[in-house]
Amino acid sequence: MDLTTAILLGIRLASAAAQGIAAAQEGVAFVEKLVAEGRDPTPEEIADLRARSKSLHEKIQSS
Amino acid sequence: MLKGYRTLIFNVVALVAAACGYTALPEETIAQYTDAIILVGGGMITVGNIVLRMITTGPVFAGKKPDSTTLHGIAALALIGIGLMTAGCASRFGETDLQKMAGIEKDFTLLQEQILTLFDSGVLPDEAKSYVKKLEAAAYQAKEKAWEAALAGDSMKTAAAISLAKSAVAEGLSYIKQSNWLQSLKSKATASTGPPPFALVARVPLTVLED
Repeated sequence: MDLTTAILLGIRLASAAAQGIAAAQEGVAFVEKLVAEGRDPTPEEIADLRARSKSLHEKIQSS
Repeated sequence: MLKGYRTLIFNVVALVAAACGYTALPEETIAQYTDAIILVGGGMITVGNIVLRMITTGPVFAGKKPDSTTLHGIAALALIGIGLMTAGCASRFGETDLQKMAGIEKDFTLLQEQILTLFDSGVLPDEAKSYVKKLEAAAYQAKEKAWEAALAGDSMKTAAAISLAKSAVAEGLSYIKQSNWLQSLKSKATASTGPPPFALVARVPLTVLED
């Protein structure tokens, strides 16, 4: 592996990490909002969340 | 240039920078952003170390350059590690069962996205890929069970189902750790002084999930 490839890989890892951190903070913010408002997620919100992981689950299992 | 010393220099510089930041910033700012500082700082140092280990000509790989399979494996593990380092955050903040489940759901979706990124990058051997798939399927089913229990208002069952979902992920991870694919990587990478580069990332997920 030469220097250029290594640097490109490094950038790719860093951007994956940055995306992960942003998404993780979004998840924390969502739950904190629920706690602050003192309510449970609505049935619609729950359905949305589960539909999202279901489609990702199908994508992973079929790849 | 600076054979074998770049990694050392990078780490010393990172440590000094962290120490300077710690003393220079007001205390309230540090307290407010502790989580973000740890995540971003830790992530940057991990990535920096991995990259430096890859381009080094120093004795990290006993003087021999590793083959591309080893490098791809390390890159794949780094991606998994980064994903799992950031997962497991939201589920800590919920108070009621449904709030906790919303957090777990968010964390799990994040994990799934990282798995897809990993698959798309094409660095995983088929064997490892099927292990990751098994792990995802087990965790998904456990999570769905936990939702059913939480929606039915059965708090005892929910607690059990949540811990099952977490241990499903942990079990899948230990599968990956024991697989032949990883063993072969390990024997290549540990022909060196010091811990293998992926020891750090491989250790992170389990401690995150134990919480």
